[in-house]
Amino acid sequence: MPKEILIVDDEPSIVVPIQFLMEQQGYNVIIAKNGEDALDVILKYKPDLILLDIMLPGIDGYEVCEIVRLNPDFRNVKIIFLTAKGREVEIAKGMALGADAYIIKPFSNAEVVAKVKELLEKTHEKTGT
Amino acid sequence: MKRRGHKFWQAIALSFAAWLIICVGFAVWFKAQLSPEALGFLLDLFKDHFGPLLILAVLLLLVGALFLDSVLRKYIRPLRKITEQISLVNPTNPSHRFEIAGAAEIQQLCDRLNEGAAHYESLLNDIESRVNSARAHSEEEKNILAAIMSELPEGVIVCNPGGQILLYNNRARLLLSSLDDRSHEKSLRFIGLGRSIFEVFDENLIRHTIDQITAKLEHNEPDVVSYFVSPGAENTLLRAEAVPVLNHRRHFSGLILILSDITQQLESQNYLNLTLKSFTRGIRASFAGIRSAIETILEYPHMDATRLETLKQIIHKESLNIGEILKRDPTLSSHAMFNQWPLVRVAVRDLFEILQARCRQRIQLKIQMENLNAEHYVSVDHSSFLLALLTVIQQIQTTAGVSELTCRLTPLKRFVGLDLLWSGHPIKADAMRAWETQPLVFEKEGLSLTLREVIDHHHGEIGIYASRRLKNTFYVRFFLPVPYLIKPEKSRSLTILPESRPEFYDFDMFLQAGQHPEFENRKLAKLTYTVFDLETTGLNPAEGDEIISVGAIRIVNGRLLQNERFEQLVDPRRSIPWTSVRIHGIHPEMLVGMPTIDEVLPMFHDFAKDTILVAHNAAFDMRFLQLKEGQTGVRFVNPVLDTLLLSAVVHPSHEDHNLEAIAKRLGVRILARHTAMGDAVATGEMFLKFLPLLSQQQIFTLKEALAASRKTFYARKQF
Repeated sequence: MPKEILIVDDEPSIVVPIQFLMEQQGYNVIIAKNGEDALDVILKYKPDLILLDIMLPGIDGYEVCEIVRLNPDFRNVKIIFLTAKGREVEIAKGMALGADAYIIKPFSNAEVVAKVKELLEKTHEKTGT
Repeated sequence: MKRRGHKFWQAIALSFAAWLIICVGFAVWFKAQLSPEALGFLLDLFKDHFGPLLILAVLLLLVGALFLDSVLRKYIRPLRKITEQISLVNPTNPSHRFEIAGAAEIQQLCDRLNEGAAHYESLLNDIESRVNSARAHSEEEKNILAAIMSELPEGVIVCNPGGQILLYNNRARLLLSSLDDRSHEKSLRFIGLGRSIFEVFDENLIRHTIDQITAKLEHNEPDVVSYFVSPGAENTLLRAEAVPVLNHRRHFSGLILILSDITQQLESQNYLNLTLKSFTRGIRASFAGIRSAIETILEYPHMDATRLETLKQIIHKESLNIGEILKRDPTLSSHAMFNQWPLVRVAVRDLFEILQARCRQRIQLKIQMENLNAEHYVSVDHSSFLLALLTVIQQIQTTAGVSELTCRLTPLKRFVGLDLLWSGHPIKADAMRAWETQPLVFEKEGLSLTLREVIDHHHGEIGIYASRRLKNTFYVRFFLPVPYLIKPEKSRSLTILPESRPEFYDFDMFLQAGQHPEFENRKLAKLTYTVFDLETTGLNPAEGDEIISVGAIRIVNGRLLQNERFEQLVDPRRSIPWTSVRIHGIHPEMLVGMPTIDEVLPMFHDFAKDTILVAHNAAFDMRFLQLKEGQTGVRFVNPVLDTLLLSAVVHPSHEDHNLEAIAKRLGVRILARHTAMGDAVATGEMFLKFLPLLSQQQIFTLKEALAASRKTFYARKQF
């Protein structure tokens, strides 16, 4: 069964290429344009990995991450921050919230793909053993 | 003086008694010598001529009395006045001349004395001119220094270790106190010589600054300057640079505070921060779109035409977007001005200890400490960062309802995490976001900055987390960068006092820490006074007369401080009788828009705090103040000295003790009679001239002056 990836970003310029990229890798892609939608999708579909922007209208990425991490059901969901917030202290804050990776915009497609694969394979290993 | 008067009358009484004894003795002896016939003859003679004899006796007594009176008037009283006035000439008014009615000898004595006084005056003038010319050079230097001080763009305050202000410039006063800002009572702060620095800045802040400096001195650190930020007048924000003054043994003996208004700098810095952030983030986001799209196109050259078109559109749109962002280059903006708000290296443990103490005292919150060692430092502006920590702690206390908190230090890679942990209810992240946008407030302290602004200024972040190790435990983490150990770019050179007295200013007060011992036993010359005068609508406060003007000036260390005045017209909320307008010249239209007495008296009360009140005919003015106690809630409990009574103490034989008469006697010029300020200044000058005269009468302390005043008051009342 293909893995599910949730992309949370309000910018189509980011969503469109990433969505295509992920589909080409054989993943199922779901899109959410803001934090509230993202939380709904997470509860409904329990994706394997979330590509999460921080600056979102309404509930921001930090809070989405925090809520996800507070729920033990979603302990294994991987979270990658994909954000233009590039100050070191912002990275530290994001990682402290329990994210698995932090990718700063602009990024290379290869970097994102590699990170996603790496994290999903880890889950696979864990669930496999 | 009175003793001498008594002696004169004692002598008269004694000589009269002696004369009576001789007469009676002679009469008794003579009677024994006479035969009964001769005695009978004499008695008959006496009876027959009783009338003429009685008249003769009365006439003799009358002549005697007239003679004595003339001696009293022509010699004794003039001599007493001369004695009194000699003391007037000597220390107080050398141009005083003796014009005393009396006998020719007295006139001659006055002429000789006047010659002597003239000689004395010319000698004094000569000495004074020599002293003046000798002093001129140093005066010039002093004036240059004073001019530089007053023209400095920064405010300067110098205080001793006890916090007493020894020197300040006009800029400091403008930055800190504004009388016009009546809407904010809290901003009403008086700055003045001899006043306490703690009236102007929070005591804890100054104490903490001094502690920091002392610690740096102990460790022989090259840069001993400390900084803090504090609110100034009219919602401004001041940055204070605290430079210690050391004595020749390198012990801390005072503090120089250099103040600058950073409100504008902060505004432009915040503007710059925000613009820079949105600039970088905007470019990052757009560039991310372009890069991702083009990489996709390159990687999948055979994708369908629609998708390819979408990706091309993205590239076009985002490249236009970048062009727009670049037009807003923040470095081109005139706001691009970097800040002057330096951060100071502080041990985290020190920071937490202060936090612990303040929380215990102010909000009864217990703070535990965890994982602290002395080696962790952060770069902070300690007052604003402490306020940020305290604000967040208080928010946690009220939102989560906790009574205990743990401060923990978490070393991260290039950051330090200052964690505030609690167990119990969680706090939502959006609550935290709301805190970030509010100005910092903790109990009565506050800054116009928001939590976000303070965090950004520290290049830090803040976040709220649930502990993974402990159940139901949450924490707020302040991320702060680990400070680089670089030498400060500029550091002020240390001020070390020479062993002898410094050259320009009288810093004697460095030696006396600002304690407040009993006023009563202190020397009059060493006390601080507020000399004041009121103008009123009339003379009867009990029948509705009101205060319309308050004027006051301070005396510190025997000097009338012309710059430290309190002058305020008051709206009496009633009409002003024309008879009183004629005296003080205050017309009703001048009082339109002026504050009322319940606003003015609290200000005046603050101005006069911890001083002795001095007024001429003080009973009158005090009555007005006392009758307003109920209405204003302000009670003047200061000791009061009355120049009218003091004048009667030093010049008991003069009948006139009104302001003009005393001023003339002491050689004081009243520049604006019947204005509150003019009369207060004249009263102050007179008071200073009384001090040496009082010491001639062995009156040195406030207690003695009050006792002498009381005695004179009752003595005068009896007449």
